[in-house]
This record gives sequence, structure tokens and C-alpha cells, in this order.
Amino acid sequence: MCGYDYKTDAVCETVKRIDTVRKNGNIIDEIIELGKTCTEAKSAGITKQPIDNYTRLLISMFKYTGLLEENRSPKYYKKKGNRVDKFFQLTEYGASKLKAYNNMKDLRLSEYDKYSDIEKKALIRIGFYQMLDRIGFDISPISKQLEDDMNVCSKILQGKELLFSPYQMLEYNVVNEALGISEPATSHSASTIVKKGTEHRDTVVDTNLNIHSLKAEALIKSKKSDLSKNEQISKMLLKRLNASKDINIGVVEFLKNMEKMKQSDFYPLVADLLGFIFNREAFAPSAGNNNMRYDVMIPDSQYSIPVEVKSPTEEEMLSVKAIRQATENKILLLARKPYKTTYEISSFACGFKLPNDRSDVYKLIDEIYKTYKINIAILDMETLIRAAFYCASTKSYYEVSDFKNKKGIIRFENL
Amino acid sequence: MRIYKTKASGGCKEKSPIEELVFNDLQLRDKMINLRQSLSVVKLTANGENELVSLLFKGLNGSAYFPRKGDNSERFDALITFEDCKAIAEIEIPSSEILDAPRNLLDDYAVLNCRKGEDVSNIIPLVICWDLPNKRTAYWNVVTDIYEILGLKIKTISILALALHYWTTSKLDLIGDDFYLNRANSNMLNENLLLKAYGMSVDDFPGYFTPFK
Repeated sequence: MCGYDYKTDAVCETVKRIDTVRKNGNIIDEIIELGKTCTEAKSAGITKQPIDNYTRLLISMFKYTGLLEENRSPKYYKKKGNRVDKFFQLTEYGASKLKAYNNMKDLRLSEYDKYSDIEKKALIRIGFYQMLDRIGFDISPISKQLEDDMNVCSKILQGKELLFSPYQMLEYNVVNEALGISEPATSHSASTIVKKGTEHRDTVVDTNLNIHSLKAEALIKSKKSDLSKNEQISKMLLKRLNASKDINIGVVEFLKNMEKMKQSDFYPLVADLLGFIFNREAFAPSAGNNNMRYDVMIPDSQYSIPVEVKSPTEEEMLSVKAIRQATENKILLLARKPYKTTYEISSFACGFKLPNDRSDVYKLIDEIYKTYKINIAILDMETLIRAAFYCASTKSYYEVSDFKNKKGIIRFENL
Repeated sequence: MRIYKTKASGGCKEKSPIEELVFNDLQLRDKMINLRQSLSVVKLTANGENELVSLLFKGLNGSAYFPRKGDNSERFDALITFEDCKAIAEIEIPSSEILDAPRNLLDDYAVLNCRKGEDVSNIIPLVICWDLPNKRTAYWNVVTDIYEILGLKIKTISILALALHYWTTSKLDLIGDDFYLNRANSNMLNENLLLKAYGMSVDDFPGYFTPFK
């Protein structure tokens, strides 16, 4: 199981202690004491770490509740000697929970505030009791009340279950009142409670977890051509193809050759391959030229494309950094016009591999488009090599003008 | 592990090294010289940059919010709120990677726009830096190009300029073009006047109100 054992005695004792602290008032000193005991209490299995590294607690909770499980697979992480890094994987149970939560009515404070007092009270009850129901409490004693409340809130909920934790969102006495709990006279007199902080609610945490992110794809068709502007590269590609007999082996071999390449070798190679498939002279501007900050330029009389390249030694998979740079490249090219282009033509980011499905990169490409209407298209080496082999063996090429309004992963037709 | 006592508990009330920089009895000129020389203090104090930024904005009737660690949806370094405006900020102390700041801001801004349901049309992208980049660096070109293409004015303010406003209790105008420094004008004109009013000049602090060269 996870790193924390929930020993009932220890929990009870700690709860009792916190309760005393709340009543006594001198919270800071008590917390320091509590911290000390926790650090010393090796038997409880709580070491110094979890107290200042609270993300561990969350991670262990995920495991403890069975939402996530540990996995190791060389498919996702490279072997380091005999070791493969572990990662967390959503369990089937976790996936079903995620789906269920996504289908619930997510009630935020800003929306809650808009409703009438009667609706507010009903929402508190529904939120609280449905939560109890979900964790297995028997809520039949209040089923009549719940039914009435659901009727009051039918328009708000629209048949959905409510995701709302009233004690976390609202003052506890407001919640108590709605639930009909009268406060015992002795508990928490106001002076013993630390002044309630108001949480910073200017920004809302994004709960829209998209496991299979929406990945836009740009599909590009090829054209026949007899002339190739890059005879040498064509010969090199055909030689590779002939040597390996099979296109798949050829791709793997080529990738292997690239794997260890540094910027100085990798950028010109990518420029050559891009130039080849688009049948023109693409080039990598010399380093230090501030006016041409893109790593590779695919020039055109109308639709030039700037390319941000990340060599495998810089980063194996494309990251958000590359997307940021691709955005900037496009802006700079439009403003300084060393090569003609139009706003809607994509800006490329080219890396050894595409990021994982869960990567923020796909989301960011979408968001950059929504905010600035700039199209970022991403390309990995395998796709580029396959496209180059295809063009070499069929004497065809792709057109840059096809990248009008194309964003997301670049897919070439016929591959 | 260290547990920090809050001031409210009445215990020790020692000033932090950052508070020493901001709250002291020096003359204005000496305060500024002192701050200018204290880059190492800011860097070596845990969370020093954020504390400094937070203190200064608070003193100017604003507030600074710093994102929770690990939240991919809050990529900015700070969110500054005033009564009449809001700014999304990248903090560059020291300024060695300031060239990345505009593109990071474009990312921050897009994410804020799409994930937080925030009306970004009034949000000011702001680079808070230690000193200004030199005149012929690409930074000014990038800022100018971004305005030309996207119509977005990325503003630049140095910590010393921020502190000057705080110490002289003069209003900080982020909405106007005071801090929209670009290829054509990378000098803080209002701060020049402000310094003059206190018997100083921007030339006393080269690199902090105008580019060093």
C-alpha cells in the first residue's frame, strides 16, 4: 500500500489533540509541538518529509483510494540500467469515477451566490447528503427532505448529481443551519479560531481533466513532380531505402542515426528533409542572427513557414517551450517580413517525438489559436522521414500552401 | 523542518532580509542604492523575489498572487491586482533570461484566457525585471513586434522603478503607456520626472530606468 498507514489509534490521538488546540487558542505553539512529535514519532511512519512536501500526501491518497496505481513500463520511460521509472496509471475504478465526476453538476461559489436563500439551503443539503451517499452512508432517513430539495433545484441540477462540498466552500455555521445542526454551546468559541482566511478565488482550478486530449490533425496531400531541387538528398534517401529493403527498417535505422545528434547536425538535416518534401531550399539560419530566430526557414514567395526545431539531445519530446517559440517565430516573421507569409499559414514545431497524449502541448496549441488565431503545427521525425521516403520513391512533393489554417499534428496523406 | 511563526503570535518580530531592503530609515537615494546592490540578498533569501514583489505591490495598494506549485494552468509568475486593473506578470530577477519573458507571457495569457474563464481584454501583460535589457537586444524588437501583430502591449518595469513609486508614494499607472517600453522608446519618462523632483536623475541609476547602453 501507500507510504502512510492509517493507524486508528494514532489518528484518534491526533484528532483529539487538534481539538484541544482549537479550544485552547495558542495554535502556533501547538503546531510547532505537533510538528516535533510527528518528526520524532518514527513509529507512526511519518517522517519529516510529508509535512513540508504535501504533494506526497495527495499522491498517496490517490493510491490509497484506488484511483491510481503504480506501473512501470519501458514503453513510456526509457530503461535506466536495470531500472524503469514508475508512473501512475488511472485504474478502471479511477476512470469510472472520473467519468462520473465529469457528468456531475460542478457548482462554484460564483454561481451559488446567485441563487435564492431557499435554493442555497437546498443545494447545501443535496451537496452534503449526496456526498455521504457516494461514500456509502445510508441516507434513507432523509430521503423525503432530499426529494423536496431536488424539486426546488431541478432547474439548476437538470437531473445531474451535485458536486459541491458545502463545508469547504461556505462558513460552517451557514452549512449547519441548512442541515439543522444546532451548535453545542461549548464548542469553538470565536476567539479560539484562527481568523478565517479568504481563499484567493480570482482563478478557478481547472477540473476539466481531459485524459484523451483533443488532438487536432493537419492532413496534407502530395503532388507529382519530375524535378527535384534536392538531387543529393533524393539520392541519399533512395540509397537508404535500397539498403534496408523495407521502408519500416529504413525509418528505424534513420531514427537511430538521429537519436544522438546535437543541434549543429540535427538542424541542417531537418532543413534538408523539409526542403526535400516541399521541393525547395529550406535552410537553417546561422546561430546568432537575431532577426531570424527560427531554427529552420521554409521560404516561399507567398507562404513561408518558420520552423522551431528541438534536437533529440535538447528534448526527446516536444514541450510547451517549443510551442511558445513557434508562436513567437510566427509573430516575428509577420512583423519583420524577411520572407513573405500570411497570418493563417501554420508555424511549425519539429521534434524527435510527439508529446504524450496527456501533454499540455495539444491544449496549448488550441489555446494559442483561440487567443491569437495563430496556427501551430507539430511534426515528429518518424513522420518526416516517412514523408521523405515517400516523396523520394514516388517522385512527389507536398505544397506549403496546404498549410493554410492547419494546426495540430501534421499527417501526410498516403503514409 | 522549520515552522515559521506568524507575527500575530507576538513572538519574534525580526525583519526578514527583504523587509530590511524595503522598510528602513535610509534617505531615498541611499535606499535605492542599497536595493540596487542587493541582488544577491534577494536571490539568497528563500522566496525572496516573490516577497519583494509582494511587499512593493501591497505598499502600492495592490496585491500579488503567486500560483500554486505544480498547477499547469497557472503558468504566470504572479498575478497583480489593483482596484482598477489586473496584470499577469513574469518576474525576471536577475534579467538574464528576459528574452523568454514575452513569449512566456503570451503563453500565460492564452492559458488564462482559455482555462480560467477570465476576461483578459483588460489584463496587462507585465515583465517585472531587475534591470532593463540593453538597447540593441532583441527584447525590444520582440515587444514591438508583438504589439504590431497581436495588438498586445507588453509592459516592462524594473524592481527599482517599482520601489521608487512605493517609497515616494506616487501612483503606479499600469494602464497608460508609462511602462510600455519598446524599440522606439525604452526609457521610463515619468520616473525620470519623479527622480528629478527628488533631486536625482535616471543617469544615477543606469540600466534601471533606461537601458544601460
